[in-house]
Amino acid sequence: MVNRFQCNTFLAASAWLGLLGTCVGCSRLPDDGVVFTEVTKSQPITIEDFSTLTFTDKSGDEVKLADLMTQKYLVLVITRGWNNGVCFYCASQTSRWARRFDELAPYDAQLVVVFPVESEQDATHLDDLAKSIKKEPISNEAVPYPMLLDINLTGVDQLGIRSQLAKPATYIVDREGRVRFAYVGESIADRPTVDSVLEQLGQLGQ
Amino acid sequence: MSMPAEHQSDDQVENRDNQFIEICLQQKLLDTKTAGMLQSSATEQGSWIGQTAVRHGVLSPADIDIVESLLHPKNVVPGYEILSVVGRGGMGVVYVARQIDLDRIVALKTILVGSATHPTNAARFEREAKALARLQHPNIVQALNFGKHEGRYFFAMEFVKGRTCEEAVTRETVLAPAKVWMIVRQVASGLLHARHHDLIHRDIKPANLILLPPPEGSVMASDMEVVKIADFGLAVFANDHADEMKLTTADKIIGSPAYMSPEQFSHEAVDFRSDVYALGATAWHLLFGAPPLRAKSLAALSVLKSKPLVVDRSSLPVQIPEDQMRLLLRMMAPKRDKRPGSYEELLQQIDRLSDIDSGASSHSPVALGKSADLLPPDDSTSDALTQTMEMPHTEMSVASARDNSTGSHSKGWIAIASLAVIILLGGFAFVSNAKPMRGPRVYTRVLRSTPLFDGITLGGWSTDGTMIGAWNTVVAPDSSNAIASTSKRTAITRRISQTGPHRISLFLWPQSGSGVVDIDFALDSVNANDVRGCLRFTDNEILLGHKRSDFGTFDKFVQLAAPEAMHDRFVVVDIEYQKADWYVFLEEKLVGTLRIDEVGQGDAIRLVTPGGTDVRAQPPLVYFSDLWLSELAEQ
Repeated sequence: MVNRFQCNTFLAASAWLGLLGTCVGCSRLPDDGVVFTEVTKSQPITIEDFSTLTFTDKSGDEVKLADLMTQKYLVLVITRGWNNGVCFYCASQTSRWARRFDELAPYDAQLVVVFPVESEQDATHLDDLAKSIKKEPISNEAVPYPMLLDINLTGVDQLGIRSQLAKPATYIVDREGRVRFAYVGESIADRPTVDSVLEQLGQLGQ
Repeated sequence: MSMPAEHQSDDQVENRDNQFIEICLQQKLLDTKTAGMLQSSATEQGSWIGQTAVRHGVLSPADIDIVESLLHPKNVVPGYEILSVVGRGGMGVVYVARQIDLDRIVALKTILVGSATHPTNAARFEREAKALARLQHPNIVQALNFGKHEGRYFFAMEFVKGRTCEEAVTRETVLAPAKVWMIVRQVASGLLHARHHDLIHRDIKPANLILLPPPEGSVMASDMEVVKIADFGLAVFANDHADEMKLTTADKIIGSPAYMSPEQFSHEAVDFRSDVYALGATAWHLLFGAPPLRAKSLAALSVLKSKPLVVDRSSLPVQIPEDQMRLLLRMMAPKRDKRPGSYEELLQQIDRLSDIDSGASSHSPVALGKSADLLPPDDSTSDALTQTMEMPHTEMSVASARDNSTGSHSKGWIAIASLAVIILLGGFAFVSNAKPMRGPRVYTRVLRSTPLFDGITLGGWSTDGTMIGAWNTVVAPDSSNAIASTSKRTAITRRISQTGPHRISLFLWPQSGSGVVDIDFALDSVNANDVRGCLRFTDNEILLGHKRSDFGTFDKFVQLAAPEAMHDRFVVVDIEYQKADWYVFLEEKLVGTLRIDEVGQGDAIRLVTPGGTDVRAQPPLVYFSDLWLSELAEQ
């Protein structure tokens, strides 16, 4: 079976890149065929340095992505955001990351999850995301990675991924703030698996 | 402005010719090859390049005027510096210019004296210009100055930086009815003011209506827009004899045929009701995405306009309330005495319309992704009829219907007039609109969302006798939790406790070889044999239709190719209960609609798999996840 996944650019629909990958079958841990786009080679980027992206923590303080970067790579997962509810699939996606967080360490990588909200009033719903993540069993019952708010979808707009809220997106950023790989969902149901992200990290380390 | 070539040095001539050519290329008046040939020819002949261009027929005098104006931007109109060309048409050229003393940007329209479109009497032209300058109304582009200088008439006007209604409807396909009537009301208000100054516009159309955001501090809602009527260049006095007062030569009919009133075609004296007709035709275009009438020739269009418009509602992409349709048709009545008798009356009728009090929602009734693909495509040849044009009048006027009798148009003049205009229009085709009837998609704002699957249990799902097969929560191939059946032939119902506008969203992931997967909606959970809507997935296709039972006959209305990723990951389905239709989306793009009066509202959805035809395919054949019910309201 051949899977075709598409990664779109930061500049909306102007440049879709159809990329082919292979899949070994529909096992429980499939090679889902997701192939990340190597941004540095193939995609125009709206911001040069991802480390300058600024989000808000649950205390309301601004956090620059650079301040969090302690490992060689940072996996930045942008969820769809608050849509009068926490998207179940967002919770499921981030919950899986919580369960498999330790698998990032061998790649010298860390994870940051961003929850876009349209206003400051919606900021409290970051707790709802945390509760949703913890509905499934995770170690120590604590979310092991930072969860940040993108209030007013400012970062989403910088990344050019607004679609009602955010198009779910995943980026791998290096210590210099350069995006090494990017995956922007074709629809809200289109997200890379943990395995495919780990595979990309593995390729970066080679 | 042009210095004869013999008084200039060779360098000056060459430099000047180069600048001339550069502007021609910038303005796309010439292509590179023609420009090169023209320059060589002018050099060989030792003549002024503009003269050579006209002699060879590669540029018109109007083209030369534009180039000269741009070459000498401060010499065209005293006190103004031309900056760029905004547009041009049969009636002249409009520039962006700077008014030097006040250092403000204005629109400057120039008309060459001696062109076919200029008034035969300068005094009359000036009188009308002064009248235009007296118009002061928030819905009319303000005239600032008028004059004549070195063979040109000029109008300085307020520079309005906005989008035209034509641009808006091109971009959005159709505009929401509330927004359209907001536009019509403002235009009628502006035209009422013009009428108080005895002026008739004569060229109301989407391209002449400019939309702007409300001014700072305005009490207008932020999603409302101010409309300004532009281009009174064809305006005439209402209280004079038309033949004496036209801005154009007497043997021409001018206007934009798609919006022109029947009396304009027959060169009768026009009054404000011609503008009412054009405003109705404009409203029609904004509501339904195309002008109301199309024909192969102007003569055929004229005949169509002389008869009452017959509306096949099933062919319209959007449905509007009966009273709105009645008013539209009345505005476009062939006989002017059947149209609203005054703007005051028209304004009152607009204010009485139903369903337009909810604000001017800027979303079009169909607004997601490629949804507009299913609406009637623009007819590429229709541009000819939406442009302001001049038409030879001689033949058409022979049998014009001065008595307003629709039966007085003879076949003779139609044939002659057809010859006169058919080349101009090319093969303008009448397009039969066979698209499905669809009501507006007005509810898009999410008020509240409720999950229909908690990710862990089958809570809320009907695990009673209506369920077929074994259902469970399972781990999907991407390690997410999903609901799925471990049988092949299965069905399960989820009741929906929502009677108002709502959206049902779900992710599904059909496995390769799964065969048919149905998402039934508008299901009556009490009477399972009642008709229900059905979005069907097969291995290769997406179908939308209805059926009366889980595994019974399926009546298909829409058939699309399945998205490539359908067997590789979850895809998202949205099913919306709108005003008159169920809207169904896949991957955020419209699949199609089903009328509520055909399939009903229902109170449940049902997931159905008849079982794959591929015996090797093992359950689960499909995974469902992220199911939500969202209560919707108007934007």
